[in-house]
Amino acid sequence: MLARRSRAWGLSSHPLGTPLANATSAESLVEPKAIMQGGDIDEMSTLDEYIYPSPTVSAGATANAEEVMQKIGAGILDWFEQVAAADDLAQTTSGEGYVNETLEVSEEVLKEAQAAAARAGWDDSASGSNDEEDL
Amino acid sequence: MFRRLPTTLPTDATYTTAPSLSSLGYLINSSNQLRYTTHPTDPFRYNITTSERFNDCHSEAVKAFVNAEVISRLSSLGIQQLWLPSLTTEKPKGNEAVLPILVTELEKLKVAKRIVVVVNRSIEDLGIWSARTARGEAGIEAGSVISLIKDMRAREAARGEEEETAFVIANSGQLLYSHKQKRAMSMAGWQAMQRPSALHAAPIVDEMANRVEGSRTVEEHLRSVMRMVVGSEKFVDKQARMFLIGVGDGSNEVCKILEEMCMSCSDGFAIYRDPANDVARFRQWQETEHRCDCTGGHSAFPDQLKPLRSGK
Repeated sequence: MLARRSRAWGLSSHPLGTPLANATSAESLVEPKAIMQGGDIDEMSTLDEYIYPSPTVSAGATANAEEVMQKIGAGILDWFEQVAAADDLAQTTSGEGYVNETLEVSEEVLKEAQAAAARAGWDDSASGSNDEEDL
Repeated sequence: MFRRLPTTLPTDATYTTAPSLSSLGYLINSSNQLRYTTHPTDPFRYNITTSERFNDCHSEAVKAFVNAEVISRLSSLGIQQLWLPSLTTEKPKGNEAVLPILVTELEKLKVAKRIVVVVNRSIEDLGIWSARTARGEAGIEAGSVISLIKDMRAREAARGEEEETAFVIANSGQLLYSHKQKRAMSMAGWQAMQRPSALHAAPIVDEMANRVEGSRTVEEHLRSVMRMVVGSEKFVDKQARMFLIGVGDGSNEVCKILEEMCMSCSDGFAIYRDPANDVARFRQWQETEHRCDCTGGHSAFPDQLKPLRSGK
């Protein structure tokens, strides 16, 4: 349901409303998880951060989460109107009602997401890992 | 042998006992901004002393008056407080621990065809997006749900709609109840309560006495709101369409509940095949769960949801 009929606004340096990610499921991420964890895919819970349950768009250029609702309030109501209009139409035409469309995530956004993942240490090639020091 | 008498201990900040916003030296100007009475162009300042304790208490005292102003303005927009767990619009007079949520006036809520449910961040007070924004340049309307409700009303007026969208605003921030002050408060508010001296620790939170029945955690509170208000035909029309907004960590709770509603059952989408009406599907889920023949899924239903299903 979240993938079909919800939307998330996430903090990002991109302009308000820029598509950031489509909804993904845990199943579709098994392979990347296996690579990341050296083949051990038993610990599924540690991989929750990779899963976007909802299509995600940018909440606008802000570093402060406190300002988010001030910026996206109107966008949320716009989206609610879209959902309501599609559902109203479905009631008269026996259609399916509102279902999220696939967002077109730009190459630039994807590259930034990959770079952010690398910086966060999700990528083996990333610097900054201090596993050896922990030993 | 020496001992220090209680009367010689440094006194604690007394801001939280101030009777009014003006007694703290502030006013709210025509642009809805918090300003100093003596310097009407100066915004709120957190660092008014070199003591973090005094600054925190001062900040919380101002926040309490801003919260009260927001509640007052919301009432003029047709939004009132509903007290849990008693489900009364008047605050119960007994000693029971209670906390308010905000709902559209009950007569309008009952007939509303669209309902927006807001689950805010768990560190903010009722109806406040951000205390700092509300006290800052943006003003108390931009920093609270007033902005969202006014935007919705403006859209409805532009479309010429007579039916108003109703709101239910959960209170995931004020889950502590002070019997001494007879009000629900956030952890920051709890810490800012006046102490016998500046050297005394904050009052201990009694997990039984200082928590509200049915709202001991954010998750439990949201389940109570969904079960007792949004899911109850006493308050909400069976055909009403529900829209959910989760902000910050409030979105985690929203996602958790929605996922449970749809995913606990392996045949979840069969139950929710018709996406036209969320509340109807919510009730349908309550009613059809026991008839569903999927395997294994039902054991995944958490105990807290059982009253939901038996309450049909």
